[in-house]
Amino acid sequence: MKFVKKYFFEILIVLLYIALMVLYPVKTISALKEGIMLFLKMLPLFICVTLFSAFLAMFVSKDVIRKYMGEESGLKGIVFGALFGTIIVGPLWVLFPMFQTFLEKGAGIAIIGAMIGAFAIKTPWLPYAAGFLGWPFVLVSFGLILVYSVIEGILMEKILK
Amino acid sequence: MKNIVSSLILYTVIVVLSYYYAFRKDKSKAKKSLSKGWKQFLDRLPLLFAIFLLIGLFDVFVPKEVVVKFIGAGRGIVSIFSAAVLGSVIMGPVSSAYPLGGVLLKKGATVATTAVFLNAWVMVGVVTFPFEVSVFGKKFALTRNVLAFIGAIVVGVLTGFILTGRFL
Repeated sequence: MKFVKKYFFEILIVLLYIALMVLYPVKTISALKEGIMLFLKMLPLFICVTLFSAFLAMFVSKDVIRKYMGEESGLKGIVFGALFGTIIVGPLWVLFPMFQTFLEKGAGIAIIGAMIGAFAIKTPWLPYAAGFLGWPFVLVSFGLILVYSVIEGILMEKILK
Repeated sequence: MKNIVSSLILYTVIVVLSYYYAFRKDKSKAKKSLSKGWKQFLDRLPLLFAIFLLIGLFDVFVPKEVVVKFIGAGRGIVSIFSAAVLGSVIMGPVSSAYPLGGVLLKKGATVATTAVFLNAWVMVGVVTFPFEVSVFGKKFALTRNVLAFIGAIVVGVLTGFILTGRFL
């Protein structure tokens, strides 16, 4: 029973695949292939981030994290967190373990919240995005996301604390 | 693909440099963090694999053309809301999100709808939600995603208003 509880989601997916395999075998097999391909593509990146989080957990002292990302760094810290969020690249979920390490080390929820929020702004991708959407679209939406990410961080701290 | 390769190079350099520093500073601590990190990685592997299998299902059973047709067709609040929901569920690199946004605009979707769709794509993670819960806990993950969902709509609608003078 403990096994079922721990791997609930995984079991659900397996059952879903079995059901779909019976109903739509061809489509399901190509879905399986697609999923495995994407998974293998992301795997090295995920290994890197997990190892880096473990490094941070072991070698960066709580004082350092608290000093730069602690709650007492105030609005300045939150804005800094949001700005930092705009320069990191890669899919959002990959960095979750690193953010969790920061939180465990005493980083403020607002700062991490703002950082995750601003992660939606992909600065290195700006010219690429503008090529499809136009500069006005990209600049206005990125600017608004930046502002909202600060608000999101503050709200998260208010709700979760 | 280019996106993944360049971020992979960046993160590999970061990991190598940080462990180079670690091993020089304290060998036993460095080994310990390496094995701890590896164990954490293995712990999270099954869930991650399941999530990617789900993404595979989405890709095949809900092709992107269907999404474009669905969002591009309507106007108003319903279309904004469905753009937000679809954007939240879809998973994929931004390299495919922006071109899709371009297609939406060309097909006659409003700026607001397109912006909401793209915002939800990068801000909300429904498929990766179980993973987010396993890392941060249920309360954190839920709060973050709800706020991100609201934000995706608010920011998108405002973007539309600023650029076209219309809210929807």
